[in-house]
Amino acid sequence: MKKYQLGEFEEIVLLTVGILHGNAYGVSIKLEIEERLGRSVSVGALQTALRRMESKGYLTSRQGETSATRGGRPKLFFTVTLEGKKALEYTRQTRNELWDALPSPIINLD
Amino acid sequence: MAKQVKPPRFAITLLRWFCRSDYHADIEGDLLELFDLNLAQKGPGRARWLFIKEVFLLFRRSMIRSINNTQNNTMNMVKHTILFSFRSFKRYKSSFLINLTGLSSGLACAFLIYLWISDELQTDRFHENGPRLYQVLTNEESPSGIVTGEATPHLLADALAAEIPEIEKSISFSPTPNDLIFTLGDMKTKAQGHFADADFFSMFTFPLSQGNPDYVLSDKNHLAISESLALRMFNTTEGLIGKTLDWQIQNFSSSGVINGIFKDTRPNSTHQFDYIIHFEQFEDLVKTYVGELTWETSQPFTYVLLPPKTEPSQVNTKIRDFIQQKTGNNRPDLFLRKFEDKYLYGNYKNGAQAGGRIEYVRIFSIIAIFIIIVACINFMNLSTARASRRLKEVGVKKAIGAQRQSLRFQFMGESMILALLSMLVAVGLIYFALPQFNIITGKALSLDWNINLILTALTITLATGLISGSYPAFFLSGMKPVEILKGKLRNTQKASLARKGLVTFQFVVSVLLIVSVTVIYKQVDFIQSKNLGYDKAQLVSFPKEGKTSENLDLFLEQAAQLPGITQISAISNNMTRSGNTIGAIDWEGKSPETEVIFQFIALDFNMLETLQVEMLDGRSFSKAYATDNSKVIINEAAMKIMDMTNPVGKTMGLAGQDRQIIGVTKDFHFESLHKKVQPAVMVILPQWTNVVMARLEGNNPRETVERLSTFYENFNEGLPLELSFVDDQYQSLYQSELQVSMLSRYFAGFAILISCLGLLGLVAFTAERRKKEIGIRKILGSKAGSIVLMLSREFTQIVLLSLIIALPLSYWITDSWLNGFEYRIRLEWWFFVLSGLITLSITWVTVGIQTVKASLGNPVASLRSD
Repeated sequence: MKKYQLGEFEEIVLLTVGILHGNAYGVSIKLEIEERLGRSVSVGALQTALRRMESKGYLTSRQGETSATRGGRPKLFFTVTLEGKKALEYTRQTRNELWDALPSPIINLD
Repeated sequence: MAKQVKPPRFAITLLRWFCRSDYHADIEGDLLELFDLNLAQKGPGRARWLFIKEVFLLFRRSMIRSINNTQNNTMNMVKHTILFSFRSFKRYKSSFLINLTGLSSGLACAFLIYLWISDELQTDRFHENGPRLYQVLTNEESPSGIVTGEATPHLLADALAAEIPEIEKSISFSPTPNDLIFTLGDMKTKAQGHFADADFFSMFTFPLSQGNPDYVLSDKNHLAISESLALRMFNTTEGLIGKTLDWQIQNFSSSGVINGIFKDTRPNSTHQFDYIIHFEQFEDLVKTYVGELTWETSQPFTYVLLPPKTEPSQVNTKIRDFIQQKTGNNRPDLFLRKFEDKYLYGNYKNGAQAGGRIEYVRIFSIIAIFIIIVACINFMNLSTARASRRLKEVGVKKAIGAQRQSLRFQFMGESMILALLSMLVAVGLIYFALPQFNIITGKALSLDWNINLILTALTITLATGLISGSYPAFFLSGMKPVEILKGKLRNTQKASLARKGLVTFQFVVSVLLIVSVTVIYKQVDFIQSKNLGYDKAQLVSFPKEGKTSENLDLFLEQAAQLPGITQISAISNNMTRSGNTIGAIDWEGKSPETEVIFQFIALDFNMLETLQVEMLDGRSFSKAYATDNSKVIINEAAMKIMDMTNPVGKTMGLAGQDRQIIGVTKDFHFESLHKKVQPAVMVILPQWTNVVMARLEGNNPRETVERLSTFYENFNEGLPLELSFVDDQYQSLYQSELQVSMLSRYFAGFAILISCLGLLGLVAFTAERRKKEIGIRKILGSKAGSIVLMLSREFTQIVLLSLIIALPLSYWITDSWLNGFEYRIRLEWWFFVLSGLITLSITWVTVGIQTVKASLGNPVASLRSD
């Protein structure tokens, strides 16, 4: 099986793009993460992660319409690719395997 | 609606500047949208702050535009130029090496000269009050024109400060450094220094490590010593304030209290001293000779400090006839000279400023510029000569669409890179040459890399690159691509003419330098070997001090007995230093208006014999005549000025005393040959003598010197003998001429070397281009000799042309230099012929080696290809 590597933040971003389904662009992703996870996200970190995953092929982007509200700048919408989906599944599966391998007494300790 | 709040402008600009262009648009959009959101929720201040924060957080590697990926072409062009330059250096190794050697040695020469010049210009420029410090000089009428002097009346300094409101401070300063003996317990230490009035340390910047500049010399008994003298005497510089020192000059002894320790004088100060003693002590010393100080007794320098923003011309009008007002006599006029100009503008001719060391500064500046130009010409020549090789490159580039601008940039860039490389090599050369250079110039120059030096180095380098790149850049870039690619070389005729012109210029400079060096060398040689009117070989002198001074007769009598000493006697001053002057002289038939200054030489018996001065008329002083103490001997110059045909037996008045003239000496030099022999009177006055002179026997002078110093030390209770040969003193008198002579020889050598390198490159180039022609000529039966002749002809013509231009020019230049000397050589025709021959033969050797190589080649090899 192919190896997929996703960092923790990358995984979050990728999932959020999936959640927003078709409406995922910089600001909406940032707000969504901030709202759901209660942590602040800098544009720099977000963009870095987005571009990185785009270059890995987990995301594709398409330019939206320009609108006056953004100083005439277009939105860049991201969608999760098939490759991206596989990466998410792989991550989830490896995570689950690890969980399953954990002996139960340790989890139930508290 | 209220004023629209906008995100900070600078942050957006910053973002646009650093962010990758393909990411930038939507990121900026996101940021603006966020800003609007924040504005609504959190208010303008916070929104702006968050915006700035986000921009700064975007500054990460993946977001920044890459250097290689810039939109504009400049970086590409620079890269391209560097690449092409190095390729062309590699491809044409010989011309690269010629250029590098020429440019780097040229730059090294120019840089050394720059170091020397800047050191010269810095001399005496370190005083905080510098622009306000002046020296009072005197202008005195004499039959031979106005004589400018530095000696001023003793009473002048105080009177100026008191009576002229524009003079803030004014001090007397003893003119020549005095050898003085400090006594501390049993230990005697010799030191050189000056006497100065109380304000000395507050006027001049000689920093004190201990003591207050305003009070160091506040009392007559106060004195200050240098740190190094303190170390010599006390082995420490601490806790010496208040210690008493005894000191002695000749017969005069006194004591003083140390009230200040000053840092050792900088090497670039005219005045070098190890002690400063209150000037009143010096006055006491002078009084032992002359009784009371009057306006007639002349000796010290007078330095004044003007208040800020005071023009010296204002003061000059007031002090002009200051002395005349005081004395009522026809005495010298006074004027001010900036202290900072003392070193470089030291010469006066007929009352007007007439150069000085500044002339050497100018000469060397010109030489430096010439050397650089000559080196640049090499580069220009070789690159235009090579142009035909690179024309195709230019043509193709232009055909593809290169603009003239970018071609210029390429050639300029190439010469800049070469200049920078040369500068690196030059810096290495300078490090290598600096110790030797310091020995020749007697300076302590070093390369300390401060911002000034770096800027100068860069300026010189860039200027060199610019000059040498200019011609190829404009010439090559201006060609029409179609013609080049078709093989039409319309411009080569013009280019080769320009090349010849430049080579001619190089050789004009070289010939100029060769002639100048010859003339300087001959003049210096002439000065060294000129008959001075006395015999300076085997003549030694040493100061008369301590017991020698107290018991002069006894000393001379005993010393004369030492084997190896033929004559010994005492005189008022060394032969290389001008001594005392006397104005109050009368003779029969003197017109009342004539005011002549005579040199006043005090002698002991036997002095003229020791010097071996020839008598023109009459006799020398002799102990056999009891009354010789009241007689006088004059020199030839004095005889002429007094207009006497048969002076012996006549009387003349010396400071009111009538003295009979018993003899006339032939003129002998007691000053630099820059000056004419002054009229002089000589009298027997042993108490006025300062120097003992002895003539040694020819063989083994060293043994005699040793005997003499043992004797001296015994006689003087341990005082060491400081003896010097008059020969050497004379040498040091012409130190600057000797230095210039040496330096100009080196620099001329370099200029010639550089020119020859250029020529070598050109000849090699010509020979290569005419390789096929030479091959065909040889096949048709031409001899190697005639081919050599054919190739040399062109260059011989160039050298002959430059000789025609350079020789008259060099005559004019050297003649005006020689006019600065009172005693000068004549310019002989053979100087010029010799220089011409040297230049021609150097050319022929350079050209010959190359052409012989070309003419001996096998014609088959050159004709077989294409």
